[in-house]
Amino acid sequence: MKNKFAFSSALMLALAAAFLPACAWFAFTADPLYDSPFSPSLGTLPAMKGGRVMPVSSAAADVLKSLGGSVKARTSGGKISASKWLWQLSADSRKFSGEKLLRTDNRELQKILGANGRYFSYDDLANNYEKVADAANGGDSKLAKAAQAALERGMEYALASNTFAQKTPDENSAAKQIRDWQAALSAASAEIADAKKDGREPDRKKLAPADAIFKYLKNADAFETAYPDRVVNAVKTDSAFATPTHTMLERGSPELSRKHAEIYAEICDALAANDVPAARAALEKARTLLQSAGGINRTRLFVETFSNIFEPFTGGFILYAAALVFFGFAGLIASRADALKTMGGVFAAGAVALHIAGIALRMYIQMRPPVTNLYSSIVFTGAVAAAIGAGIYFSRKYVSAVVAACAAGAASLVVAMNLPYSGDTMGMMRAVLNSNFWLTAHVSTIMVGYCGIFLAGFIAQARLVANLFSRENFGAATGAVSRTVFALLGFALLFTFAGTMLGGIWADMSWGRFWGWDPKENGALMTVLWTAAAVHLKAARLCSDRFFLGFAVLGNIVAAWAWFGVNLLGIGMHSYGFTDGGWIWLGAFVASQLAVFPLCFLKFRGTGNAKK
Amino acid sequence: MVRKLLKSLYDICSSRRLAVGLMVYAAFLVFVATIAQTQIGIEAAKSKFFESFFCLAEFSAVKVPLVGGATVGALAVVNLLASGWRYARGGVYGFGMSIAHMALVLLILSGALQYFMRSEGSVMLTEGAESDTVALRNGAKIKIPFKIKLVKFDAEYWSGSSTPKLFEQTRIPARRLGSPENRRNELARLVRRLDVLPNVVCGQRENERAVGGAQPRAAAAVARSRGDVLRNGSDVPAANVRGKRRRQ
Repeated sequence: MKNKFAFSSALMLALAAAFLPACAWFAFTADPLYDSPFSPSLGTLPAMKGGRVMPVSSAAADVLKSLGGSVKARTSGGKISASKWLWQLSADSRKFSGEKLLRTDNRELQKILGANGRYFSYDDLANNYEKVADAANGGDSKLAKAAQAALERGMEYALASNTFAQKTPDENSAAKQIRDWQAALSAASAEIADAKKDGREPDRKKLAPADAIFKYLKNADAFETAYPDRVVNAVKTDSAFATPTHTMLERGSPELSRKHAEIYAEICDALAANDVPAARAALEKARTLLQSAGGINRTRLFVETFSNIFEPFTGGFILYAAALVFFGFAGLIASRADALKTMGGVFAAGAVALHIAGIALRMYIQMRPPVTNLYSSIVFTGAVAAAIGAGIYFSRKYVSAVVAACAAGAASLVVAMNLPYSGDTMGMMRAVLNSNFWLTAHVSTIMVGYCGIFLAGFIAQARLVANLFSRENFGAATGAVSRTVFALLGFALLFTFAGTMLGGIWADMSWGRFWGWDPKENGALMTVLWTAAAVHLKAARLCSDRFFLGFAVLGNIVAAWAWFGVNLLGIGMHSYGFTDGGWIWLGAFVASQLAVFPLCFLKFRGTGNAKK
Repeated sequence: MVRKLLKSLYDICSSRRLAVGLMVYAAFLVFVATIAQTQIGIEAAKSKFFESFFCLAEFSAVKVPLVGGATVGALAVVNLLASGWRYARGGVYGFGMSIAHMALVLLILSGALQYFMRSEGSVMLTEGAESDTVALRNGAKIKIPFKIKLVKFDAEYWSGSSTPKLFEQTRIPARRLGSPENRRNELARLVRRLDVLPNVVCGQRENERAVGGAQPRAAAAVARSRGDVLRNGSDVPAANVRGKRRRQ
C-alpha cells in the first residue's frame, strides 16, 4: 500500500474517535454504582416503560428527555446520569425539586414561572401552580398549550419520584413505610374480624392508621393508572412489571413483587443516607431475586446499556465530520492529496460501519425492522445513502460520491438527534403498525428508495458545484457522474415503486382501500413520477447531462416533501412526527436545492473539448 | 395528407417527450391537489383534481385552469400503448420492459374501472350494534340489502402502556341464501379471526331474484374496521364498506 502510514494512523484516530462518547461518559458522568456496563449497577436493572422492558438507565433517560429534552440531568452539582437522577429522586423526592430540569419554549410561561431561560424547576411550578393552571384553561392559545404541557411535565416529575419507592409525605424511610403499612393493615383486619365476631362496629381509631395510608396510596395509584405511558414500572411481577404503589396496594401481590419492592425500598433508604456499601448489598439482593424469577432477557438489557454508553450515532457523526474535513483538505492541498484521501476513506468507512452497527443494535433491542418511526427512518436512510456512496467511492474513486455520502450520513444523524422530544424512545408499535413483515416490506423499501433519490441528488449537486470551480473542461466528468446518478435513480425508482405498491396492499388490508389520495400516498406517488421522469429523460437522451443532474437535484425537493412536508400538513392518516418549526427547515432545504439548480445551465467557456 | 396527419399524431402519441411531460405534470398536479386537500378536504380534492378532465386550482385570489387527472390518465394510457407499439423490443430485457409498462396501463385502467363500478364508505358500530346504512366518503348515505353486526371487539394493549397491541374482532360472513330470514340466521354464525389488522368481513353474493327484485343488487361488500378510531378512547370502531355501486 502506498500510504501505509496514513492508513494506520487514520485507523488509530478513527478508533479513538469512535470511542470518544464512551470515554467522555466514563470521564465525566459515570458513577459505577449507577451505571456500568461491566459490573452490576442500579442502571442496568430491568424496568418497563411504555410496554417495553428496558434497563433503568433507558427508562430514566426517557423521563428526563420528555421533561427537559436532555438525557442527562444538569444539576447545580454538575451533570449526572439519568439513572443516578432517577434513583436519587426516588430516595429523596425533595432533592432535585429546586433544580431547573423542566423545559418550556413559551416566553410568556417562562415569565409566569420565573424560569431561568427555558428551564424551570418543580418548585417553580408548584409555587406558581394557580397561575399556570389558570393559563392552561385559556382555551386554544399557545400559552394555554404550553401551560398544559408544563403541568404534564410536573405530573411526570411527580410520578418519577415514586419510581422505586412510595412514601407518605411525613415518612422518611421507604422500608419503614412498607412495614408500617403492613402492620396497620394487619391491625385493621384483626380489628374488623374481632368486631365481626363480637357483633359490634369496628373501632375507628384502630382503623385510622391503615385508612390514612390507604387513601394516600389509592390516590397515587389512580394518578399512575391515568398516565400509563409516563410511568416507569420497576417492580417485577410474575408476568410483567408494576409500580411500588400498585404492589403495596394490591391485596394479592405475588411474593416476588413484595420482596422486590422491599429491596428497592432498602436501596432508596441507603441512597438517602449516602450509604454506598448498603446500597451495593441491596443491589446484589435485587439481582439474585430477579435472576431466580427469570423471564428477563439479560443479554438485551446489557446490549441496551452498552449502546446507551457507547452512543454509536454520536461516534458516527464525529467520524463523518472528520472524513469531510480530510476530503476537504485533500482538495486544497494537492501535494498531500493521496494521503489525505486515504485517511478520509478510512474515516468514512469507519463512520458507515458505526452507523450501521448502531442501527443493528437498535434492531436487536427492539426486535423490529430498522424503520419504525420518523427518527429511525432518517437514521436508516442516512446509513444506506452513506454505505452506497462510500461503496461507489471505493470502487470508482469518485470523490463527489463519498463527500455526498458523508454529508448525507452526518446530516441524517444531526436531524435525528435534534428531533424535539420524540427522539429515540423505541416505543412499542401500535396495533395497525404491529407487523414486522409490513414494516420491512413497505416502510424499509420506501426508505431505501428515498435514500437512492437523495444520494443521486447530492452527488449531482456536488458535481454541479464542482463545475462552478472547475478550471478544466468538466464535460467528461459531468457525463460520468450523470451515469452514476442515472443508475442510482433507476435503483430508487425500483424501490419507491415497489414500496408504494406494497404500501397500497397493506392499506387495503388495514384500512380497506388500496389507494385513498392520502397526502403521504400523494407524496410517494410524486417521488415515483419524478424519478420515472428523470430515468426516462436520461434513457431517451432527451436532455443534456448537466440538465439531468439539475433534474436530479430537484428530486431532492420532491423526496423531502414526500418524507417530511406532507407530515407538516397535519391531515390524513400518516401525520406523525414533528410539526413545530418544521416548515422553516423544509423551506431552508428547498431554498438550498433551488439555489444549486441553475448551475446546471453553466457551460464550460474555456478551451477544450466539452462533451456537451 | 390524412396518412401524414395520422403519422404525426402517432408520433406525438408515442413520443417519449410526452411521457416525461405527463409524468412531470402529474407530479405537479398531485402537489397542487395535496395543498388543496388542506383547504377543501381529501375527498373534495380527489373529485376535483383527480376524477375530472379539467379543473380550476384556486390559491386565494389566483385561479389557474389545470388539466385534470382523468385527462392525464387517458393520455398516459394512449402514450403507453402507442410507445409500447413503437419501441417494443424482443429478448428478456425488452420483454421485462413491456411487462412493466403494460402493468401501468392495467393499473390506470383498473383505477378508472373502480371509479365507475365501486363506492367506498364506512359504518360506525358499537359492540353488539348492527346497521345497514353506509356513509359514503362523499357524505351521502346508502342502504345495503343486509345488516352488518359487530359481535365483539377486543383491543389488547402492550402491558403497562396505553398503546394498543392488537384489535380482535368477530366477523360475520353472509352467504348466498334464500330468504332474508335465513340470511339473518346465517349472519349470526360467528367466525373468529385473529389478525394483526382489525377485520370485520362481510361478504355477500346474490342475484336480484333472491332478494325479490325490489332490492337493488349488491354483489359484494367488505367491511373492515378502522383501528384508529379506538385511539380516541371511543369504543366505536368504524368499518369501511366496499361494494359495487348500487344500480337503481
